[in-house]
Amino acid sequence: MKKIILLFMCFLLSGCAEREILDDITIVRTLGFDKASKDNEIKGTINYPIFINEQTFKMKYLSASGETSKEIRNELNEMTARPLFVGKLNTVLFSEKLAREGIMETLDTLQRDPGVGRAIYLGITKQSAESVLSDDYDQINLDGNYFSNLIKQNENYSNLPYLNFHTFLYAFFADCMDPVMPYLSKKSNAVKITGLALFKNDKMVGTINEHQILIFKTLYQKFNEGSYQFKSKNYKGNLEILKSKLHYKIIKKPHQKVMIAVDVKGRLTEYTKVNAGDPKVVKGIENTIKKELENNASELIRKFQDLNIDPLGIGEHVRSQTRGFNSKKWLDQYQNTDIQVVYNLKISESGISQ
Amino acid sequence: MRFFKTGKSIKSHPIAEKKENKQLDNNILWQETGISDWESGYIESLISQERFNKEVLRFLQDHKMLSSKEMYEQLPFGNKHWNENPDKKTINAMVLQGCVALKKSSSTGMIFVHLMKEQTVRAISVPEVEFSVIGPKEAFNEALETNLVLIQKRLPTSALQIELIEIGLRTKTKVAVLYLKDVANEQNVKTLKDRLAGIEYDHILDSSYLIQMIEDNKMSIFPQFIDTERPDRIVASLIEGKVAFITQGSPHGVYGPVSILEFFSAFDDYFVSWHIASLFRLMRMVAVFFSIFATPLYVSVITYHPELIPDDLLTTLTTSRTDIPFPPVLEALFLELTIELLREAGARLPTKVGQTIGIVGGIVIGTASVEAGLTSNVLLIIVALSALASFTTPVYRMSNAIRLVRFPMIILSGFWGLLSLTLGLMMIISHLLALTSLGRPYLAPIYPPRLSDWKDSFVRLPFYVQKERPKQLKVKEKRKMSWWKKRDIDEFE
Repeated sequence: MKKIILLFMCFLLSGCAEREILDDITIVRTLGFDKASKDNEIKGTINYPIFINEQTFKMKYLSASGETSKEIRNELNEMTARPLFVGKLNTVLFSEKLAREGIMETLDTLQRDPGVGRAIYLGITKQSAESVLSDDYDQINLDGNYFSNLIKQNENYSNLPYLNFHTFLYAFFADCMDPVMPYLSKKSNAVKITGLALFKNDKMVGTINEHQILIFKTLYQKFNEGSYQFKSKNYKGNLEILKSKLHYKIIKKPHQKVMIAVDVKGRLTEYTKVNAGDPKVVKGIENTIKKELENNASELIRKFQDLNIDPLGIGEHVRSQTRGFNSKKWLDQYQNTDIQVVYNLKISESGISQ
Repeated sequence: MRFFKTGKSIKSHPIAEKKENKQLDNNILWQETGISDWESGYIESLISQERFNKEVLRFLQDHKMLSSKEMYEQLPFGNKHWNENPDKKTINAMVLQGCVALKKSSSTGMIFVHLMKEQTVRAISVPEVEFSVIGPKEAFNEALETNLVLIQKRLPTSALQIELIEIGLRTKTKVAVLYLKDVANEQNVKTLKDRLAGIEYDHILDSSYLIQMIEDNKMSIFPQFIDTERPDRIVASLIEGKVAFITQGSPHGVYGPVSILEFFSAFDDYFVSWHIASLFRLMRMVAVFFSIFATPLYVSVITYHPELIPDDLLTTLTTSRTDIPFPPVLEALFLELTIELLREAGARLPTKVGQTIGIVGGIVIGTASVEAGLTSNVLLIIVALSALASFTTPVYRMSNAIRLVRFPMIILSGFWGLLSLTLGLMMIISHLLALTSLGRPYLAPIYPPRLSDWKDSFVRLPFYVQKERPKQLKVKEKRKMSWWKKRDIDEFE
């Protein structure tokens, strides 16, 4: 009996945990960071729903600036009726301007917060993050899920590689890898993924365009859905990728020559001026696309080497396959490493019509 | 104040004022039969007057000349006793059991003839609580004899042991302990018999009295015996090697030892095909967990962990709660109490009136409280579903326990959210682990793990797979069937 009383007192004396009742908090859905007009200051914008009655709710936007993201949070808290809650955050956007100067200072708070998930999406906006956030794009962004759904949808069913907060942190903290983020641009009534933003450590150093995203994805990870637009002198068309898988081969050790072999299986969904029912023609198309892919890939890798960044994590792959890997040495000679890309393309079908 | 003077004016009982040759002694009516010098004594309400007149008196008439002892030997009754020199206590006891005492005034020897009036008992009816669409539709009634017949005719084997015990100082309730001699574990039988014999209480009016008195842990809210109104269920349990008892005046047979999973198996499960039975059982298990944890989970997620809510549900949940002034704990407790009130009101009222309760509760209170902004409609759905889920438990005692467990869980989740909910779950699990039924582990096929018993636990596999009796019962004969030989069952002498 004594034990039961003691147990009961534990409950009474310790009181309750910190309450975050669903309707008594400001649920931040999207966060945006810009450079503020003042030097050394960052401007943060949040986007959150306010609930008017049992049927309707509306997205609201608020901005505040400060030197650290914690300061911004306090500033914003002073403006909202209910305490800020970042547990349901789904996207963090940075303006390109800020990103070129480094973002880790801002991200660090989020990284340390156990309430913030690692599966949230990050993105770089060409315009200011505030302008991207404070628009509902003709009622597209009514519930604050627009940006995250946009990125998620493109990752799952299209060319965008799988990127989120976790992959960013992994690449950032890895020795021989640099992070990338989706690069978004505001159009008149929508936001478009126009490429990938490339980072050197936490500073943005360049972008790749939307045609290169697929090439990047084939070199970055294996995936099952994507589409590639090809073009040659005689014909152009579209290859729907059904399966893509990559292998690393280190040809000359220690780490001077690396070969990336990519197996791609696809289906022709669109083509002009050729009879794709003929196996010989398909073989020809296969070869053309293969060449085109390889050229594009080499070009992409040359670009990375010129920028001295390694967003594909080639260094990490080499490290995992090399005994006694010397990362300093690898980084020193990275720009001169011979990196080859070989595509094994197989077109399995070309539609049901003959 | 003579109004308050009582006792004096009350006249003695009219039976006492009968004719001279009748004496009333301890409710026993002594009278001369008028046949030679035979006297008879009996309790009028207990014995069959017609049989006494037609059979006993006529026989006395025809054999006037016999002495007491000779008369005893010749009386054509099966249930008769002879006592050379009975004391008052024995006479009382015999007559109270429905005997007629016959005595020659010239001698001390006394004959007792059992002439208990045929009881008018309720007919054997259809089981109401454990009704099944397929299968036998006989249920126990209040007469111990009938109930024993219902079992014996299903188990015509001499291995079936029926031992009668009398419990209850004043009610002298007869309790029959049943088990199969060649199957049941002796220790289980002994435990049950010892516990029953150890009961010292004035009145035992139903088997539920006994259940509560002999449970292993009387503080536990989980029932440790199953009571059933189906004779076939008792028979099945006896064949499995369990021990059962039936109480005089109770329409329920009780058996043990049981494990927690048996409370979620309806006897129906053995009548339908095993696929369907397994599906239903799994459904019931899910329902139990849903019933216990749905509301507390809602409370703790809404109060402490909004980040766990999926994106698509977030706005639905939040809009449903915008106008609610109470914290989720109070809201949940309010609704759960409402449902409990409805159930209680429905249980207390006669069936015809009870139907209106459903309408009042379901439509009026439910809709009105949402419209008034006292509760959120999402919670209303959850609470209604978890109440519904708790009613799927086939054993009434268990479904009560499950509904009760829910309340501390809700209150706990109001304190620390998922942390204290987990704490509560751990407390329940450790309690269940410590619990025993007739000394056998309560959580048996799960822990201690008895994988072969799982064939008839969460699922019910086909009969041909279930060759063995439950391991946890430690039965004498382990197999229920064998492929390779024709089995023979010893019949006892």
